Amino acid sequence: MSATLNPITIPAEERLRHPLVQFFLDGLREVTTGSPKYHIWMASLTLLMCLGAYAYSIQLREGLTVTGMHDHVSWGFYISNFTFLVGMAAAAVILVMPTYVLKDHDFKKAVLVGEALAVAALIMALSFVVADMGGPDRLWHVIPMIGVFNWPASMLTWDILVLNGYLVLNLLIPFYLLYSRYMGREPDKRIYVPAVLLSILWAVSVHLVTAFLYAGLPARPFWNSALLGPRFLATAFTAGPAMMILVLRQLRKHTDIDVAQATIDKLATVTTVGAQICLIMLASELFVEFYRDTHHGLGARYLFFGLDGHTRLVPWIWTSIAMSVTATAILSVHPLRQTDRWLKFACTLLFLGILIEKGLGTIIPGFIPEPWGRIDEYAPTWVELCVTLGIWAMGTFVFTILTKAAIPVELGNLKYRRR
Amino acid sequence: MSEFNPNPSGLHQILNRQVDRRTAVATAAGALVAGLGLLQTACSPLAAAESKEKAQLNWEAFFQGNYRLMTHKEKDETVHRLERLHALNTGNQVRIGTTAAKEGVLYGYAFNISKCRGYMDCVKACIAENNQDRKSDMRYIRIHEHNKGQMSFEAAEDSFYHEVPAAGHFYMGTQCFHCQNPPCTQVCPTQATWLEPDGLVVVDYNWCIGCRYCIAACPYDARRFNWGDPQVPEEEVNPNQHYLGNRLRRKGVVEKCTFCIQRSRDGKNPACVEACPTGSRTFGNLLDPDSDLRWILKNKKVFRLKEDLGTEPKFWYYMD
Amino acid sequence: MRRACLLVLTTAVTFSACRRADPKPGSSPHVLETIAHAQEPNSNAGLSSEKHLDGAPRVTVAGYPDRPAFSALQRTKVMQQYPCQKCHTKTLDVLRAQSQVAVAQGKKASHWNVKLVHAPAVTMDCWTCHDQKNLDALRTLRDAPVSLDHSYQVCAQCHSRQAADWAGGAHGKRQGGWAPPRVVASCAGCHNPHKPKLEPRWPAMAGRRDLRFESAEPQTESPGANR
Repeated sequence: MSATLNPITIPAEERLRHPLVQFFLDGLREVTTGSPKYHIWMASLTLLMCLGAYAYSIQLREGLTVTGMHDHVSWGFYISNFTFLVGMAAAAVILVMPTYVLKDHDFKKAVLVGEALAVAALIMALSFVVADMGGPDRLWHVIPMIGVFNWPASMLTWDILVLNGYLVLNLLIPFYLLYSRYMGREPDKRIYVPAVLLSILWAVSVHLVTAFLYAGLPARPFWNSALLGPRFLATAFTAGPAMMILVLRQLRKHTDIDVAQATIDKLATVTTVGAQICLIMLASELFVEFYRDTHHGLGARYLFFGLDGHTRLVPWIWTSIAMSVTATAILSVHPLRQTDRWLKFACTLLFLGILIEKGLGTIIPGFIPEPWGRIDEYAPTWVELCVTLGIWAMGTFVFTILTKAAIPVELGNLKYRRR
Repeated sequence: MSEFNPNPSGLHQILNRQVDRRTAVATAAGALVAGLGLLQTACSPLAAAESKEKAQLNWEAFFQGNYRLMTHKEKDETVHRLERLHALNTGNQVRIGTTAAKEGVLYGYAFNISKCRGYMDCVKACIAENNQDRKSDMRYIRIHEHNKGQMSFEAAEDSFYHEVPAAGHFYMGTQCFHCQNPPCTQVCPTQATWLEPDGLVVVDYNWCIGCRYCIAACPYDARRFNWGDPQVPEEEVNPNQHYLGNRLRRKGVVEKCTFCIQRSRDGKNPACVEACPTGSRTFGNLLDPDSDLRWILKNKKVFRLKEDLGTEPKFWYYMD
Repeated sequence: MRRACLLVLTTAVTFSACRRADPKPGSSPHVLETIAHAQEPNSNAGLSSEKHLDGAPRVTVAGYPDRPAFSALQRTKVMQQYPCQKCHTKTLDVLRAQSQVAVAQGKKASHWNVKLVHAPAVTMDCWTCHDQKNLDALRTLRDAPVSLDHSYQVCAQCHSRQAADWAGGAHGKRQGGWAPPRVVASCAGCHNPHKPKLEPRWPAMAGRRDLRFESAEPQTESPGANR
């Protein structure tokens, strides 16, 4: 269209090319070029993804019998990772809020990174659900209009809606912002601010709905708690910013992006408050579960102290608690939090602590003991671990290419040119 | 399509369109498969027409819809396809029924804990009747050996193997209680499992996507998953089957006790009831005031498990 | 914000128009209310157990007017040594004398395999139930004859509670299926009247041990089972 302004100077092939196509081509060029270090990084991620794909092909052929799951622990590592990653996705976007609601511009630099993180986390979360399906070839049965969609009765259909909607939102918003910047236009606030506000609400709902998936099941007293949803949010809004701090520090080191210290400081404050709330909620849960020993507390007893000599999760959960408590203590001391080294250490501890807590301590104890009190423990097999590793590698891959392409656009180094 | 249909309801319109679209895709794809099959046959004369037919049938089965939304004709076609596939795969004939729920019938079950002696004949009969996977040793029924003096399932043992009844113990069986307000069907994202009008909770094994949300939602450990390819020796396959019951399953789908739908809808007792040598198990129609079951509810002190969850199980326990 | 509301609304409308197999979800009446409403005689949708009974010979059970008519399997059609008159051609005194001679010669007495393990000797001997005057029949405590087909009437004299449960449906084995006609096993169909207590035995199979089945070896045959 704009080509008509200056038809003579534009070569034929360029004239045919829509700026949108050019945008993606430029992005593609950006992600396929880089330092040797970058290529090695991408190659190792690809290798891990191939390993995951190989393990998944075995699972497809043999069935889920190659995992450690069984009739009494029917969800395992995949669903645990899914739960954790939904939290990550939600938390990444919540950082957008201060920028637009509180007009706090220290966070602005974090927005695009946050949304890239959300996209990566969502893709991983959805992949984990697909990996967990007994009949991935029959997934079309759940597509609205084509299959049968049991909405609103099934919380899983709610989760499908919110997760996919959230994914679309988190793809559209950065696309709009970046594309405007690419075209040298100022993004229209009337368009993106409502979308951003919607995505913030959506972020909260995404993790709440995921919590309701479990909390709505009286069959599993370990999950059947009104605190489950808020606790999910609290842990997510702790692990999320902690992850963001670590990522932003890396980006500051390896890319041209300028991350203000104020951004990191604010994120650290969010992380600290989140970590403190997490501990309060943990204490509250522990009190209810253990003040009077009831049958409903057996899952928690198994997790924290072991049941009838079955103690597989006990070392993990105490490691996780030790990590979280240490990290919270460090973060709560102002001088330590403001020291770069200590902050990195505390954030790493916190992230790992919450990963362990969500990855092993949230889903599995819901199934142990099973409804009639039998204890059949669970441990992931190598196939599960490889598929998990592969999916994490895929998420990291997605995050890398998104940020790799977004940063030069955001910095104004990559613009639409008609050469 | 719908313009030829004078006055379909909104739902019907949607349904018809869906089925048609799917049929269209299936036909197109089927033609492709048939074409490939033809090519294959041309290349190797030994490749029988059977393998072509099998591919065609498998392809059609892939696009098959939810059983509850099928017309009678579609249901017939579906079971014929499954019967034919079994014949092609094994050379044996099975009969897959589609008998529907009948008006005025609501199935229920009573279990006498004074009588059960832990013989496990019910479990054995159930496995044989329902073509359960032998490899993973799948069972729908669990017999719990309780310590006298308490009814704590945590303290009970369900993996006993010694002379029974053992001193100081009593026995109690659990299986699917066919709740009238089932939490498992509520959570299913595809409505692959549902409560039939005669009170049976069933699964469409072809529609289940294997997410196992129902297993997490069941407070009674009633549901089982085919973690691998289920294996039943061909000579042990029970050929008297029902689409919603004991027909052969495949890997990646959930299954459960159906009160032997292939038997009960024919007036028979479930295999566990028939096999029990102690008469602990009673099955019948809750809507018939003259049934054995109603007599028990009226004259015995009965209880149900986890009634506080509001699941309304149709499975009662009582004592002499 | 209006945009957001609109989106939510559109989504809701779209999905409520979705295909559902169950047009009326959540309609789950309390089962006991449903039962309470079902008081009229029920035809059980015309289902019948008759074809599953294979024409089993049966007798109509008498003495339970509160229960709709039902039948018990006919014992005399399946008893191998019935009628007793096949052997009992002479009086009991003569047969007893013959038996004593046989035992003295080291042979087995007639009915050597019948040992009464039922009630204390002060309460019960053979002639508490069997009729000395007519060996083809049983007798009540007041010496009224009872056909072997209606042996439950003899049992019910002491085991009245079990008999009431049997007539009601809480004791015994239903034959054919759940659908009418109601045919049940007679007491002696399951219990040996001379030794009525069920014996302990090994279960038909072991309980499920390890759910990670690679390590579990399913045991289906019990050492004690003889089938």
